[in-house]
Amino acid sequence: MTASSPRAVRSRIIGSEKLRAGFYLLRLDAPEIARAYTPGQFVLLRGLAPGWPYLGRPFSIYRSDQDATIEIVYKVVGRATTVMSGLTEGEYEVLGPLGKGFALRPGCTRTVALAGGAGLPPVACYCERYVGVLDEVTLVVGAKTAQDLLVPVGMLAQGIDLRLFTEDGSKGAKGTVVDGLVRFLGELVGGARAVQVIACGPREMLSEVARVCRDSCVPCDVSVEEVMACGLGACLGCAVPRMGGGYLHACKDGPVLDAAMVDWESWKS
Amino acid sequence: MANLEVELVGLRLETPLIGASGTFGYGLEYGGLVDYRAYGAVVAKTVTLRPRAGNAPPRIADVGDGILNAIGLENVGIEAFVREKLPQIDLPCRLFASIGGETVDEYRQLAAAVSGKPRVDAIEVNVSCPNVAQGGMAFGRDPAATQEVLRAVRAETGLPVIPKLPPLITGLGDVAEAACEGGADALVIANTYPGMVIDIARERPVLGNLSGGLSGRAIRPISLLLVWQVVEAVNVPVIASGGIERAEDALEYVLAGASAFEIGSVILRDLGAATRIVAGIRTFMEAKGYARIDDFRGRARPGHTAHRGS
Repeated sequence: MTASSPRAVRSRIIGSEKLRAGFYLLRLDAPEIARAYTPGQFVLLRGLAPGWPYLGRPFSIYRSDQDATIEIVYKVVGRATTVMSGLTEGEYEVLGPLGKGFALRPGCTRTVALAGGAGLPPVACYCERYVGVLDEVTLVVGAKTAQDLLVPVGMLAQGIDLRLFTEDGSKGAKGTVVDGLVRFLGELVGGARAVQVIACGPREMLSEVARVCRDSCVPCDVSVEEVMACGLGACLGCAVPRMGGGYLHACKDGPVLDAAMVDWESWKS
Repeated sequence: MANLEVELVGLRLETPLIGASGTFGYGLEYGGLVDYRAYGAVVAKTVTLRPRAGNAPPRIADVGDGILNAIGLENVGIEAFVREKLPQIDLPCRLFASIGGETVDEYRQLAAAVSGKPRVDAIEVNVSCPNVAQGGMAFGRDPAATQEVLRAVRAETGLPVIPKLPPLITGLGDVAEAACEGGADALVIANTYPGMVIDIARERPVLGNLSGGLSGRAIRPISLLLVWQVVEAVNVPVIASGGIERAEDALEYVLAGASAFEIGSVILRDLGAATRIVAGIRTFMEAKGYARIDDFRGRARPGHTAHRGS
């Protein structure tokens, strides 16, 4: 889905909280972006604090509040996110909303949304936006252990069929998000017509999801991640191998891509 | 009021600030997010004879004080550039095309293809890309090969011809002189520095191409010395390129004798960089009582020997 033009704004930190070990939620004052984004779109954030590396970092928008603030959820994985986790006040340079988000496919009335590890934000954002529009929304959230499992508790009452999976079985069902998808597809009565899969998570997970969907003839859109610089399609840094040759660019063609367009074999991490 | 206009290769530029190739796409991608009134010119992404897919990802690594990139000259190819991109480009500043060949004849064909196109004001000749297997730096590190490329391009076009040279070579002065003898109207000093980063957790190079080109503030003092040396060696204007992020950085290069300067990596982190840099230069000039860039260009040099005008 193409959205309105991105803005470059300076946004004040409204809140920063630790959700669980390694995971944080950041709330920013960004009304222009809060009003304009579609689920799956992202922002580039650049911290103004000492210790910030060179470039901004891309984060999918998790949710917005009253068209005034945006929230992102991130996992601490490197220099930028380490700096972010220590920032509780001040400002960020924010560029967004960027990229193409999730679109409702024509004729689709049921979505199974898959979130692996830190991949929850754009998927949860989609569920929240479309839960009343679609006949059925199933959200499958998976992680290695209960410790790593992000659960969007605020959504439980909203009619989303939430299914939790951990690889060690310490919370929810034992298994992976892909197991959750296979189980969902197996439960379908009368085939997979009008079903759409969306997913975000580790590349290996997305690759598996793409394979299962291809084999089941179910349309699948995934939110991908690649190291990025400009965020606007100018530098061509965030290349994603395209099925049939050449590259897509995560910032402009994505971050949401039709899983069938990605050459997963060439894009191993 | 300080006047930032400069005369460069026979062109009047509103400011000495030029957007570097590779960081401004085809001059279309930033839309209204960049105010091009702060720019004297923008150099479009290097185009090659055939479209190029570029290198395997990851193509970018953030090294803290700059970035390593290995895009691998991904571009739409000269035909699509001329047919689809050029007609759309509408900037309130000059536009330089950038060309990259694998052979001398490819450079010749590319120069012919961009000449006579109403939007193209000059040709930057990329003989310094560190991220391609053929062409690129292989020309720019060799004086004779550089001269051959320049002669071929010169013979094909009436536009100003500006080679961008590689930094990490022995005898940059010889290459610079050879380029001038080949017909260069100005030189860009310099492209990015070949470099590498290794992911210690995965125990392998970060970039898909293994190595890339280093840019950003990390390289500024090294490129400044190169500009200083090349200004001494040649009689054409030198356009500085290397780690300029603030007005102070640009002023160092101008005081070393640069006639203009390119910004690149900084735009990837700050879309308003050019406006900020130009404002800072103006403030400096007004504080020092300089009316024009030429009033202080090369003033850091003993005996103040910078090339005058162009």
